[in-house]
Amino acid sequence: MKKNEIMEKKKLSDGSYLFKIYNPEVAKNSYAGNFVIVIAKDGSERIPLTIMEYTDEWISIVIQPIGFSTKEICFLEEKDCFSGIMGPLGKKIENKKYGTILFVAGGIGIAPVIPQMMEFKKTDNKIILIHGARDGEHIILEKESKKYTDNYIICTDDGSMGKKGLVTNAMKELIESGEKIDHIVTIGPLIMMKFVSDLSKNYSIPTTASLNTIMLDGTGMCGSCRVEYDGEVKFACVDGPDMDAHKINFDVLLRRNARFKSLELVNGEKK
Amino acid sequence: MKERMKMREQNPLERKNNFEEVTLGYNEQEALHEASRCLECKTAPCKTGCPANVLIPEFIKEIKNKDFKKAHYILKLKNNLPAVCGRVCPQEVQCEAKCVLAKKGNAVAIGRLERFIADFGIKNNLSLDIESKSNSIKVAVIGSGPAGITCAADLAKEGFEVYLYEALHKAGGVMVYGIPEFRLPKSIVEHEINKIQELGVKLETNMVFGKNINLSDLKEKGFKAVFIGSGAGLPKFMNIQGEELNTCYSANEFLTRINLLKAYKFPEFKTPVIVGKKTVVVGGGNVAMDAARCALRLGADVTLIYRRTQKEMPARVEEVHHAMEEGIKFEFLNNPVRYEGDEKGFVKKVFVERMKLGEPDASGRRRPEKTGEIREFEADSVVVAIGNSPNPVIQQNLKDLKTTKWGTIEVDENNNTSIPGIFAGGDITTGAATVIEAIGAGKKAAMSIVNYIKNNK
Repeated sequence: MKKNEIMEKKKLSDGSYLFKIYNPEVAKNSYAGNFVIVIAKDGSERIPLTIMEYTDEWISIVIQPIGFSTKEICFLEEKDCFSGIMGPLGKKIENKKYGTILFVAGGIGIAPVIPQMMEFKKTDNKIILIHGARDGEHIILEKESKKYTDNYIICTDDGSMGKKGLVTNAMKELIESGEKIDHIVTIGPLIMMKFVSDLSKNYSIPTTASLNTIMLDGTGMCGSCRVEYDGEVKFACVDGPDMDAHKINFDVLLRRNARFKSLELVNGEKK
Repeated sequence: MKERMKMREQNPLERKNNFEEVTLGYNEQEALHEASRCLECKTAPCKTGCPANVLIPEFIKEIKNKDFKKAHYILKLKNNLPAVCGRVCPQEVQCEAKCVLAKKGNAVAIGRLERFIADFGIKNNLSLDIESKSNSIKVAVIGSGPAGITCAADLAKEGFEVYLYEALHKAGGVMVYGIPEFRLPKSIVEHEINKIQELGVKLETNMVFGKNINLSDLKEKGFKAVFIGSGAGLPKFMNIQGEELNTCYSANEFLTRINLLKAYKFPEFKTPVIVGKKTVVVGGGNVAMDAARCALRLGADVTLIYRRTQKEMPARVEEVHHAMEEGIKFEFLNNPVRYEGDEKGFVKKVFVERMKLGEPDASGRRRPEKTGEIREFEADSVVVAIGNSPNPVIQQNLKDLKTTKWGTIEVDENNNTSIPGIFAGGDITTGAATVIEAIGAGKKAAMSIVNYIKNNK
């Protein structure tokens, strides 16, 4: 097996792909919270993606083909090799017993939630998961989700699976029902994490958000991923990606994450 | 006395629209003219000005003899990156400053001769035929910038089995992500790195020390020493209002997008950069000049803002001169106080405060002082080029490694760190400096590693 070879590629029901990639050096050093920078081909963008599974030999990542570069990755097939995989980067989660941990995942954000639930389960935490998506087809990785959770709540915008409504509604309901939540971890679209964070702040529940910012090197060199954090400048790549959600200025982040939208490529060409 | 030979350059009006090399190098005739100016002083003061101890009069003598191959051999004996140094070294404050002719303001153009010979070597694909007997002793070099490359090459020449680990996907460090194509063509860096691999150095990219390669792994694999040359990486910001705006870049980000990821060839290369119609660059060093000249080549009208006067600028005189020729506007004695953006978060205005020079500070330069007078500039993008601080990633993962209060790795005069067997050099120990100083440190560290291994057998 060659370094960065795709061992397995699986299409998930929401149209995203799960890649199993051979790279022992990255894999054996990986842990929940870590991400890799992925380079599809020579000349491709450097794309940060959170690691889902890790063994001694391979890692897996889940990626949704949205923009040119993510599509370019999704065109790779089994036996192809990525031009580069760099990592594991970012801080690993601090695994300890909080008591009850609520995970709030949005869409494909469930992928990086899986390893965190797995690790936090090992330290005897009670794991509750709220997974929200557009519709039932966008609820992916159900088997894995069931495996690590004590309570697994699904909600969809159209009600085609689980409860109808937003994750924040389900969250509110859960907290109001008297469930004592000691810690919240939220991973998903920025706008969702912002609302989860706003809500959890009202209940004074410590919350971690995992930031998927625009990055280049992933090692603190460029500052592209910088976030306003408690009035200070922090780098998501080295200070995160998991950070205290209540200290993050999500509005700035939303703007910064959209800063190259005008240059999005269509089939590799300028619009 | 013959005049110092000028170097031909691309016309400023033309070159400001392309990323091709600005200076064109000497041809044979020009090189011969310039070499003939060398007095071959016995004391060779020029050599004392070179951190890499290049045998300067010796290689120039061979140019006079028209034995360029021999000149190349002599040059490469001491410097593994002559084509790079010949282009980016500040010779005017190093070797050329020590030249006896410099007293008359007319030093031998050592750097240009170095470039001539190095380019001759590249054109003719010359290799350094050094018979090195492999000793099978493994040494790891972290970082493939000028310090790491030099250390790796010198150790390979001594017969060591050298593994050169680079965190990014391309080797070369600041020479590929920082210095732009028009000052240092990437094909040249690539050539020099290929030559180092020919010496037996094994290069591995996408390897981050402390992440996918650790000290314990290296020890397990039988490595006897490690050299850390990871560079100065962390960009500094001024912590003023508006630095979070979409088109406010650190110089590192801006230059990495353009140079390493080739955003100037977007969409052929897929990484974008937005400069807009007007760019403001903040800073007075070489990096600021590079950023300003890149923005210009991407079509922006560029204003450079520096808080002191031209005299205090740390950038090379030649770079400032080139930048001015190309039409970059300089606003001296000004310092940004805040940036204003539009509703989508893109830079719209830059507010600067006029400064005046006060008493000299610790650096010996007169300290800029506030005057309270604020002006505004229109701008679509801002590049903050006020320096870097050392990247703390390695130190965080090696708890026993002593660091200074500035965050640099502490080393003694032989580049030993606080951990036996681990050496360091270049910007990670000195803070941001020059390519040639990093080369000097890489050389010294290589010698220290040789001695260390000899004594620990």
